[in-house]
This record gives sequence, C-alpha cells and structure tokens, in this order.
Amino acid sequence: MKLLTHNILTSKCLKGVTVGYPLGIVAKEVKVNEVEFNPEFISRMIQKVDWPALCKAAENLGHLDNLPPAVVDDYENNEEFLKKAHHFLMEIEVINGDLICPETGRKFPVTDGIPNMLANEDEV
Amino acid sequence: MKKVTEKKVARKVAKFFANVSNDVSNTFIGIGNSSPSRFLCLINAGLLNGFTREEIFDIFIGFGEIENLVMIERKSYCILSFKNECAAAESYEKLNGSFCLKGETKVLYLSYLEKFPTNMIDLKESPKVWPSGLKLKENFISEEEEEKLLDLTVSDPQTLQLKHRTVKHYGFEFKYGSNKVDRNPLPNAIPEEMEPIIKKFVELGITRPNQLTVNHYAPGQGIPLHTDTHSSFEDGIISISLCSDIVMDFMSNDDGRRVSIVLPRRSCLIISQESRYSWSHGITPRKYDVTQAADNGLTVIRRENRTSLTFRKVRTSKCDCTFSRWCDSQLEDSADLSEKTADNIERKHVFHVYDEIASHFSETRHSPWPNVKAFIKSFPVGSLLLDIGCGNGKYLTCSQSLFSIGTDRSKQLLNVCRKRGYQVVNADCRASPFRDDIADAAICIAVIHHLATEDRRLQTLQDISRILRKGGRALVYVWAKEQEIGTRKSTYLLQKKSNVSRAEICPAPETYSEAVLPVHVNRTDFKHADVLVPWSLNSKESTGTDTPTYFRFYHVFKEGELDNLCSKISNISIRRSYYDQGNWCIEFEKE
Repeated sequence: MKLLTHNILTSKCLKGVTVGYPLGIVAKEVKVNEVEFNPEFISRMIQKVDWPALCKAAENLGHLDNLPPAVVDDYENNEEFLKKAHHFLMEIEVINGDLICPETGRKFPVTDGIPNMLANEDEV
Repeated sequence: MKKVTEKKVARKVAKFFANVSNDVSNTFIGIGNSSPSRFLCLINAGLLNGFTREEIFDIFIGFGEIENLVMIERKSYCILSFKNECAAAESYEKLNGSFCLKGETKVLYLSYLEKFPTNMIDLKESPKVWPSGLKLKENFISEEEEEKLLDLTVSDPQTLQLKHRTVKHYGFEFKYGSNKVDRNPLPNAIPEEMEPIIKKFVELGITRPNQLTVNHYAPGQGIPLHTDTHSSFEDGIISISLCSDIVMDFMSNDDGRRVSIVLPRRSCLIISQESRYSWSHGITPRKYDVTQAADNGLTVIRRENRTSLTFRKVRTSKCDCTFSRWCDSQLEDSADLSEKTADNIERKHVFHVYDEIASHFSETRHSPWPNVKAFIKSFPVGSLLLDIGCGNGKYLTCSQSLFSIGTDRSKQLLNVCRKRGYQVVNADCRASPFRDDIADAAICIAVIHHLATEDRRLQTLQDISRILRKGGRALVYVWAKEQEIGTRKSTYLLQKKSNVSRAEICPAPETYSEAVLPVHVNRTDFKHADVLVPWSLNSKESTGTDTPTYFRFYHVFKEGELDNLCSKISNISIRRSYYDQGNWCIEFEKE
C-alpha cells in the first residue's frame, strides 16, 4: 500500500463513522522502491492529496524528515518539490501493519501490501 | 318485511317500462301487464345489479316451483316464470316494493308479464368463450374407478381441516399461508394405485404430475377465486371430480370476464395456458347451482359431497410464462430475498467460488475488452482510476499515466494482483473505503451481476457515484440476459462446441426457502434472470465427473434494466448506454 493509496482510504464503510479519515498507520514492514518519476503525473496527483494526512502518515512511519510540511506555491514548476512528493507518495510502501480508524480505533490489517477494509457483519 | 308505498311501486314500475320501451332492443317485453300471470319481470334483480341465478332462486323458490329464469346480459332486470299462477301471485304480494334483495338497500319491484318473451334466445346470456387451454373431458373415469379413488383418499386420518373444506396433500405440500409449494418431498407420494388414471392424462399430453391435492367439499363449501401460483407448479393442472356435479367459476385477471362451467361427476378438467396463468378459478360456497340449459330451460344442480383430485407438477425452476403480469417468478425476478439468503447465496456462489478458482479464473481473463480499455485511455495523465471489483487486475495496467487502485472481495484474486505489482484493497463493492468526490474515473466490470438483490446492485452504483469527483466518469458492465441481439450471437454463445450430443450432467437447481436458482447450461441463452452458472476447473470441457464444478451466482440484466437502475441515482447523468459482446454497458458522469 503506497502512501498515495493510503491518502484516499477511509473507514467510512463502518457503522457510526462519519469521516473515518485519515487512518493512522502502525507499520511492521515498510519497503522503499524506485518508481519512475513523471512530473505531470505527480502535479495532478497533488491536487487530490490531503497534505496534512500525508505528513501524518509519514510521521507514523518515522519517515517524516525531508517531507515538506505544506504544498508550496507554484509547485507544478518546482521539480524539487515534485520529486519529494513523488518519493513519499509513490516510493514508500507499507507491506505489513495496521491501519487505525481515527473515530473508533478499529484496526484494519495490511498484509502483503494489501489493506483489508472489509467490515464485519456487526459493523455495517 | 320493510316495503315502500304502493304509490311508489306503481310509479317506479311505470318508469321502468317507459325506459325499457324506448330501448329498441327491449321491445320484446311489451308494456307491463297488470293482470296476474305466471310470468314476472323482476326489476333491480338483474345481472347488472350483481345477482346470480342462485340468489334469485333462493328468494323465490319458497313460493313454488320455478319453471324458468332468464338473466340478461347488462340488464338490471330478469324474467322469472313459476309453474303455478298462485305462486307468482304470492311472491308478488309479499315481495313487490320490498327490501328483500341482498344488501337490503335496493328495492325489488315486480311486474306481471302477459307472456314469456319469445325471442329470449337472442337475449339471454351470450354463450361464454372459454379461456384458451381449458378443456373438459366428460366420463373420464368409470364408476368403479371413482369408487376406488374415493376409497384411497377419503379414509385418510391425516386430512387437514381448513375453514371451508378438508384437504390432503401427496408428493409435496402446498402451504396456504404463503401460497407456495414446500419443495421438501412428503413421505407420501401419489399412491401407485392412481397410475392408470395418471397414464390417461399423460397420454393427452399433460406433464406427469408429482403432486396431488385432495379436496373434500360438503354442500355449501367452496374455494375462493385464485390462480395457482406460477412459481410453484408447471402448466397443465388436472382436476378430477368425484361423487357430485358442481359449477366452477372462472374469471379473467385482466378484464374480469367470467365464465361458469359445469363439472360433471367423473369428469376431468384440464387447466392450462391462459386459463392456468391469467384466469382465476373458484367454487362459490352454496348448496346448489343453477345454470341455463341449451334449450332455454334451467338446470338445478343440487350439490352432494364432492371430492376433487388436483394433479400438478412442482416446478424446479422459475416460471417463464408469457403472462408476466400475473407471474410471481418474473415479478420477483430479483427475488424478495431476505438479507440472510442473499448473504448465503453470495457467500457460497460468489466469494467462496472465486477464492477456489482464482488462479484458473485469472488465466482465462487476460485480454482487456477494447471498449473498456478505450474508456480508461480517455483520461488525462495523473488521473485517479478506481476499479471496483478488479478481479485479477486486468484493467489496472491499461494506462501507465493513471494511478489505478483496485478493490475486490476475493483475497485470492488480490494476491494475483499483488504479484503483478498493483495497488489493491480488500473491500466490499457496496462500500468502497475511499474518500467522497475523489476519483476521476471508475470502472465496475462484470461485478454487480454477482449481487443477489436489486438493492445491493443499486447500493454499489450509488457508492461509485459517491467516490467520483464532480465531472468524473464511471463505466459499468453487466452480463446480459439477451445473448443474441438481432441476429448476432455473442462470443459466449459462439464458443459453444459443435458436438451437441455430448452428455452433460446437469445438476438439480439449488433451493432456498424463498427462491429456486436454476443451473444455467453454458453457452446457451439465459432462460431466467437469477441463475447459477457452472465453472469446471478443467480448462478443457469436463470429461468426467471427478472434475470439481463450481456454481457462480449471476443476476443477468435485461435490456434497459441497467439504465433503469442508474436512473434511481440522483447526482449522475448517463452519457452512453450500449451492448457489447453479451453485456449491457453504461457510462455515467457525476454532476
């Protein structure tokens, strides 16, 4: 699960959860890959990203250093910013761990890179 | 008995005859004659007022023997003749101007007639046209056979006492509460001794029955008008009458037309086609039946204890008659399944199956459909695509310039995706774990036809519209019921092997308490909307019975059904709606 994926996940599917976002991360295994950089791609993606949530996620993973605390002005043309964003969004992956619902504390396991967001019968 | 004044009687009767004589078709009556005779015109007691012959009989029989009674179509009067003048006079004196009619709100007026109208033949109830498929075979069984059948059925201690008659079932039980047959076989099947009788109507082309209901009617008992539940029984219902003649009423469910049929003792009535599917039948609870004989006289049938044997064949699949307006199978095609049954069906026939067949399934799903690929490629660089029900991830790699995330219920299939390096999430398609208004693009290919109720299918589409951003577009594909559009067969049908004579072991349908799911024969047209489609793990066609076969649940969509479903979602507009290789497809945009 890349941090870009994590950025749009919520636990809203559960009963009693209003926002369910952002999910906390307790990671047991994290991988860093090299992914081809595409500035146009990242520029557009940033429009969707909830930046504070990304920061929080990076912090949970202990990778906060180096991530800009906010989106800079004119980021589309700021290659350094884009590259940093790319690194965090696309190159860091949680392989094993748990995602935590911010409202209920319910844990969603991440196994082999796949988050399990299925609700139990009583949670729907 | 309450009466109106004589003055009023005279006035009303005069007015009646004045109106009647204006009407050219009624000149047969002539002017009402006040001198007593055997012949009476009964005003406000006609077919138009809702009276039956039997009801008139009830009122007048007490005065003396009735010679004739003619009810006339669409008229509010009838003509009665007594054998004796004094009987007529007594009834005239007692009942004229009285509130003796049923309901006691309308007044009965009587007038003597000079003679019995001669051209009654033209005016009596027109001979009724029987609904198609209704056939009566008189003297179907002999007196000996009748006695034998009676012995077999009458002395059974396990008869069920209903409010208005006594009932016993063989083969399968019909549940009067739910009006459906219980598909668990009863310990008592149709008695073997009945085989000679059954053989007789099988020879007539009726499907061999496996269910028998025995009804005992005492005089005065009946059964309300009803149509035998479509989903419970096949076409071709047989009713054999023992020990008494009786009149059975039929009524069209479409337009209320009525026909009454005399069922003689030892006759066999075949109820099929229109009469079985879109007409109701019943027996009025009364002690005698009065019918107009062909020669203009009356026939009075005094009922005796009557036993009827109704033979039927229990359906093993949903009814697919052409009378869909009255068909509970077709009306409930996305059956009113309880949440529990829907869960069970999906668990057994979708989730479990896909987990078992995941790798084999993935091997057979490698080519992205061109139209879906084109849809994906139509989005600009840096768009977010969510693939709801992504399966083996076939579409997650169609465009390298998009960020694609797939969701699926099957962990096994997601593992296949993972090996290919895709971003996937284990989730239910009805509740995607994504933020509102986030996706540029969404696809849901061959997914919602696995959901067992319309509500669930709608929920999924609604959730897809939730996750789309304003202006975002979604593409949905579902398996079509119609595998042939015009003359072009779909690839699915064309893949049928030419060797038609191959013996295929087709398992029995699966039964749930509220639904029967038929097993579809692969590479043929769909006969029902809710089906189980076999999947054998051997990639070649199965050569033996040791190859495990799985059954996947599908609700195949009729033309327009997907559009109709989308029309129930408020914040989307439909951009395209088309048929693609055996699928109904829709593209919609979020407003």
